[in-house]
Amino acid sequence: MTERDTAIFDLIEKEKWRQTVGLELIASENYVSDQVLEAMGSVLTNKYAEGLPGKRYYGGNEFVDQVEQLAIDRAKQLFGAAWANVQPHSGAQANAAVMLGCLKPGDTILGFDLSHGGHLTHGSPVNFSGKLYRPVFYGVDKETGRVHMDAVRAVALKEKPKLIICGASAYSRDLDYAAFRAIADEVGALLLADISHPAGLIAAKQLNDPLPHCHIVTTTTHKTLRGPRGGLILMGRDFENPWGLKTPGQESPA
Amino acid sequence: MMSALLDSAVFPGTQGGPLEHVIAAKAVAFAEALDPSFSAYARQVITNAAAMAQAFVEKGYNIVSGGTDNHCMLIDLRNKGVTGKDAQHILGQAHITVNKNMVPFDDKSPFVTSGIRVGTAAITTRGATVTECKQIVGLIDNALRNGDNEEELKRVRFLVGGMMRLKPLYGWSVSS
Repeated sequence: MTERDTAIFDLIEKEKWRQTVGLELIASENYVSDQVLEAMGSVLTNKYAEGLPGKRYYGGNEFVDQVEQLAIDRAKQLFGAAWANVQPHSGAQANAAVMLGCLKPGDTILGFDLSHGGHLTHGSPVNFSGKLYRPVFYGVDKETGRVHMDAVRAVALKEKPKLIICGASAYSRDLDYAAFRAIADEVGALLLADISHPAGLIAAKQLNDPLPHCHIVTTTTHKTLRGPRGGLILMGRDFENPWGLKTPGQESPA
Repeated sequence: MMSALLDSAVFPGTQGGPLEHVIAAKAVAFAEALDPSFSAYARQVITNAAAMAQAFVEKGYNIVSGGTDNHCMLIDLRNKGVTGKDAQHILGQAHITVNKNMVPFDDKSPFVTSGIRVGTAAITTRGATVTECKQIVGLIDNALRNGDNEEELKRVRFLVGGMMRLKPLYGWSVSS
């Protein structure tokens, strides 16, 4: 038997005390339930499960497959989605996967300016999204502090992005996803909504629903959704990708 | 189809083995969010945020866009003579955790900033009400106006502790 690792567990107890007595107002944080904590501390962490339920590279996944399928089915039910991938380790990973799947390096992406309330992974020069792709931005109006759709449309028409990202990390207003979609259609772009912050409020039908309007939706599973730290990708309906990009298995010999 | 493209962009495109313990926890959280009690929670998050924003405005704080539709608000502190960095530090001494945040057209660096971001998702899980949200704005205002007064910050910390100790961290899913 090894001794209990008091160096770590004492610190965890201190953090638990800090969370208990402190007033937590960070907008991206929340407290998970006992059952969420219990699942995260389970033996499932021991298992390798590369692939998808029913299509794994390793054996021994008969129970893990059922766990992941339940997660997929519940995510689809919660958001009214036709398709879900529950594997992204984080919201940033979910956005990286969407960009890898939809874009070629150097393609133009249009995102919400980080300094106006956007997110690092929406094209910031210090992030992969701003290094691998060509980022352009929309921001808020100086007088109203709100995103004005005619300003978004003007940037989109000028820059002709292949992907438009709507969603924010510090924006207190709801977004008009239908108007974003109209602009995306006008310039021939895919529309990605990153709903990491308001996901729980959207799931509870308290804010506009992006699923009917956006080609792809990404989110974290913590924040207002109150789950474990992680990511999720959703689609309201599946569709042919408009640029003929193929999955590795579908590539035809050159 | 796009679904196949996205599945393969997650694995093997950008990740290796999935974290199945986290996926199990996601499944648990999705089921919790499908329960009618979660709708009540989400409505309370928004009600609490609106009440906080209104209380801040009444105390002369500038909320970017003037208010909130969701769980969060961005407060421009330039008229209060305190930077986001200093506000985060002052409130931290009172056990109130916020993050400094750039405001639109900010003239300070991301390491200093002119604002703080505040949200109600966590305190609503702990059971905070509209009345308490208004009290919290009073505590924040008090702390920021007394940033160099250790006694006053200690008093705010005492009041914060008194409010939060009565609200258990876990068990909300059982009791609600």
